[in-house]
Amino acid sequence: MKTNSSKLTGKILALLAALSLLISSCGSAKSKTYVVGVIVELPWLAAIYDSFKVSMTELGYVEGQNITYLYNPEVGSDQAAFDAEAQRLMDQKVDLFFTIGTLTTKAAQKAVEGTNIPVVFTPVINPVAEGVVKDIAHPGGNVTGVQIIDRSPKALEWALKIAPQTKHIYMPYNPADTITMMLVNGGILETIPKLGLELEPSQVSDVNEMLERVDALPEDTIIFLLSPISSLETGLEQLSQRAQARGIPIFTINRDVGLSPFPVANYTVSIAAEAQQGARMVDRIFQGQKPADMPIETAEYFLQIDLKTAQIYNLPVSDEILSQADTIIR
Amino acid sequence: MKKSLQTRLTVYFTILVLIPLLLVGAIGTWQTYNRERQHALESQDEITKLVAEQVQNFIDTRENDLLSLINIYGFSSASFEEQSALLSSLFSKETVYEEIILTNGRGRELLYLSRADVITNQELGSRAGADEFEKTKETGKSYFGTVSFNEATGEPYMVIAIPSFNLQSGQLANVIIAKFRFKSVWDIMGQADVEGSGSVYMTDSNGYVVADANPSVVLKRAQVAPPSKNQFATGISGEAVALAVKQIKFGDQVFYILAEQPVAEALALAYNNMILIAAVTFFAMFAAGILGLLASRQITTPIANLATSAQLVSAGDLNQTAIVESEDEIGALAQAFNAMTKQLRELIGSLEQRVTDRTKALTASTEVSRRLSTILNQDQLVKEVVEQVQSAFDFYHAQIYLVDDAGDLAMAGGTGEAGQIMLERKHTVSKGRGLVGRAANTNAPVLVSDTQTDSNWLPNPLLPETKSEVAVPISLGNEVLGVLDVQHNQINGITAENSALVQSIANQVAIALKNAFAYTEVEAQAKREALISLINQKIQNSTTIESTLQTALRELSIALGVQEARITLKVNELSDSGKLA
Repeated sequence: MKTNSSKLTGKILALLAALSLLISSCGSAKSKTYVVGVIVELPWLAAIYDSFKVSMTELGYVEGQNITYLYNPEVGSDQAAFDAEAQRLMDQKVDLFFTIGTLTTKAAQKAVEGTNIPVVFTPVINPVAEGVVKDIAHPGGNVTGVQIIDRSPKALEWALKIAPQTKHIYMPYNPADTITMMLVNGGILETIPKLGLELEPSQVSDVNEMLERVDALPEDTIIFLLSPISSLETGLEQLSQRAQARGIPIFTINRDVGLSPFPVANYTVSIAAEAQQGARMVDRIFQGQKPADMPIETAEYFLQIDLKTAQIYNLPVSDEILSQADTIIR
Repeated sequence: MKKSLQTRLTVYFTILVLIPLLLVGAIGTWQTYNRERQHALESQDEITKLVAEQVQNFIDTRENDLLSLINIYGFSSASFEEQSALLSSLFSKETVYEEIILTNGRGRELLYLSRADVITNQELGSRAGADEFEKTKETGKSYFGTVSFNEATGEPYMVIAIPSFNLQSGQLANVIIAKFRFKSVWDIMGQADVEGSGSVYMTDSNGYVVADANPSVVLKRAQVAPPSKNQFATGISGEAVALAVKQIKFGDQVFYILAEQPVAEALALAYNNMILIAAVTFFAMFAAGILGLLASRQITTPIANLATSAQLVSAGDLNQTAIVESEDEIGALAQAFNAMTKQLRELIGSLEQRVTDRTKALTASTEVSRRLSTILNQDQLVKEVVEQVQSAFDFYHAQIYLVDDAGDLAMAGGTGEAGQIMLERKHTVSKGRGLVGRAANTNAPVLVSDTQTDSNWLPNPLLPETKSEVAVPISLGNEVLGVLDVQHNQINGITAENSALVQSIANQVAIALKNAFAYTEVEAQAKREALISLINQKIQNSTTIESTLQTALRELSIALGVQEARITLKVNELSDSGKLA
């Protein structure tokens, strides 16, 4: 009887101890340091990475405390380089890939195949068409992120409103640049005649050819830069100088592509906004949500007008148009 | 195996503690649980009310902006350029619209403002036949269309159509068709002051979520079934939630604002209370068990000891005593048990003594009988009897009186020095005097258990320690031969049983005495006859009268033990017959 009483007492004590442990374990904060591998497709897109880190900090992920970013700015610019970088990051046991650009996203997607490591992209243009995800609402797999819907026709429309005298358009692109070609074939070519414009020969094979074409452009021409133009981006500064010398204004989709002066206007997504969207998605994944269940979000477009550049090209911008701009740079 | 008293007492004690504790805990928990449930639903209800009001105001404001455009700016009378400018300005400032389309009174598109697409004048079409135009035209009021989703972005939209009438003719002049983005409402959901990990979202009449702080919920076209009332149900994430619902309407379109909070959070206080009560109950049960165990031990240990003692006593160990640990009822019980055991021990000891005594007496009786059967000498018989009886019964004194020729009782034998002295003194007792005399007189035993309290008892200075005495008659039938008297130096030292045993011995002594008397008499008769025969023989051998006489006289003297004997002859004349007279 005494033995039974002792056993019973022991069981009760063990139960109380377990209960105590259970209660004490409730509410104990889970602390983990996340390792995020970052791959950026183009140097000027690194601004998204910077904004992403700011947003992550606002969400409570402080670099060096509970999050570590593995980012190599000298990774290269082609698919092979991105693939190698993705594999290198895999070897470093990253918890998540944050990719900026279509090619980098594809590289990460290939690297994480067969694993549960999520990939969040910010941005990818038309991710379904690129085969990054199966469906916008239901991505499936472990890749999700923020998409950009090609608004280049709308950007061109805004350019024409600012420069209504325009009759010709020069839109340089290299057929070897797949992303650029996706934009070229995305509807802009149909929009140009619809807006009463004539497309100047724009297909080039390299930077030199791109620059040489500038000299032959009619005066009522505007240069409209799709973005990215990948292989041609190294010549953007020269392009802007030649255009300025010819008095041909440049309009772009993205502002921070390396032009000097900046483009007259650009209709693009907000880097900070899309980085914030991407950060929120990463946060939700860290909180347990599965990428497969996270629909692709869409970045918002904004109209920016640079009045300084407009003055350089003697382009008067009406108040009616300025009133419709999201950002006016004076 | 039956549960021990200690186990039962422990269980009862624990149950007695637990029942009220559990009752109080259960009632308290139940009340807390219900109160928290009610509170959780009320909290969610407050959120839905607040958010519903904000959404209602937000969309109403959008409608009012469009109405103001028409009413304040005299939209119907403005030129197309002015109308375009007003709408473009509104479109650029109000990002809540994905598209704004202006039609004339017949539904022809006049202006198409789009954030995504480039629509040229050549591409303008007609809205005639479309609900947003026809119903607006028909009712003359604002129209709210059903929710649609953009395939490219997954965002939900709702068409808002506002009619503009020519103030002069009253005819429908224009219809402004605005494609409202619910994405602008998402921020309201995100800014809602939800509790914990709860959420608030908005659905259309089909249950499709059109606004949520988490864009994923909307973009994946999550669908729920809005309940008719606030309740606990399965939430949008599939877990049990406290769910509140509020209906809002825009035109004919019904929307629902739902706020939910996981039950685990909403009822956390109740659950914590339940856990606390459970922990307290466990602790109380544990404490009650320990206290019950201790208390029951205090109660049952003495009882168990008592039971063990009783078992040992029942097994024959009468030397067991219960330990008296307290002065309470159990202590009294132990004391009573000990007293009872003591009495039992004494009783059994007494019985054993009595049996021993009885056996001893019977043995003595048997021995006396055996001895008596072989003793034919009266003196030896008496001596043996008194010695055997005194020794067998451990009497203080034993003595035998025999009825003498005078009818008195003469001392025939006694034990010890007193017996010897009285024998030498030829001590006699008259019939009817003293215990001996009364026994002889009544031919019945006379027992005095306490000599000091019996006034008829006569003390004997030679036997000063006598405290009890019995005198039993030695008789055959009505013939009293004597009295066997035994004395004890303890009060009640002689009992009725002893008396009966002594009586049985006395009866045997009577027979033995009778035998001894008879033997003595026969022996004397035989001796006399042998002597007479011897004398006759010697006389017959005499040849003369004188020698005959001499022989006869000498032998008679010897036989009779006299020193002097004489034969006197008186010679008378012979009778005629020649014989002496």
